[in-house]
Amino acid sequence: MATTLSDMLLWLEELGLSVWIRESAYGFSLMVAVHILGLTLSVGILLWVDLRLLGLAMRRVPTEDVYRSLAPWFLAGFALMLASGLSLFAAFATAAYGNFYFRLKMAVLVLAGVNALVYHFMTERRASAESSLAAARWAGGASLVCWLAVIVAGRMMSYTMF
Amino acid sequence: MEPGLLQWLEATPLAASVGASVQVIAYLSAAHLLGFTLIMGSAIVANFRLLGVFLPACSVQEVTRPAGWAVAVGLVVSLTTGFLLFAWRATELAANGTFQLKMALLLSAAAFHFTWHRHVSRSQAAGTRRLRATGALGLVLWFALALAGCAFILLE
Repeated sequence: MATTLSDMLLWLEELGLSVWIRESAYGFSLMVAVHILGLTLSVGILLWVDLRLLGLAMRRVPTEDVYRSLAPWFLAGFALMLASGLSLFAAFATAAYGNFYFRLKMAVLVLAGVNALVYHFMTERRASAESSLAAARWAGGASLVCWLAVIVAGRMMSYTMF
Repeated sequence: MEPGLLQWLEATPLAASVGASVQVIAYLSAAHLLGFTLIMGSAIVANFRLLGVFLPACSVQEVTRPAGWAVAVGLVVSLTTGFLLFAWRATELAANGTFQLKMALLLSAAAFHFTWHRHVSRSQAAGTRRLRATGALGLVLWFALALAGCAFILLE
């Protein structure tokens, strides 16, 4: 028997964690709180790497130093976001999947990820200082715009889903 | 607060038009969260520098100066949108304990940041121990505000 997408979404909603998030007194609140605190650590800190890439702050410090010093913290923030986000998705899988802002958020998240990977594996390793400076600015600007859109779409989800 | 003033605020056309539209509330709340992310990220980065976690080899002011500006910009965005979100149900919110806690923590964190934190960041003579204590207290205050903000969204 073929498993359809809607069966998979229902299966996610029936997981123990999903039921706990929907039905316990503090499950939902706890997950949302972790998601918001994760946001301050991830996007809140990453934005300073972006501002450095754009040349708008800490210009006397090499971008590499800013990135290395902050990376463990914003990566920990993203881990919290991912764990709480996946749990919240599982709990409301059908409603989220059908939500316009959820789809928009996921699409922009992919763009933000591609932008980060392109910077990490191509721009950062390029030897020519001149061209990589312009590319770094584009990467920083694109990252800021993407994360701004992700946050707005995320907030809109909660007003259109429930 | 004066009950008459709160009721007057609720009755203003601006407050009433916010309260009449879920879409406006959603956009305001999104902008409120953007301001909050800017405040928290910048406060974390500035306090991490004082703690010696972030760029310990670089000058304190190289980090705290732009971060201080960003906290101020974030506060303008969050306070403006927050006031509009407050105005249409001012009476109810002014009596809400979690909201009062959130405002008290906001006041404490911002006052600490723009007085003591700023003073220590700019002082050439501040020793490592004083910098670290300031950074730690700053982080505690801002994260307490963030937690109160979460509680306020969820407990109502």
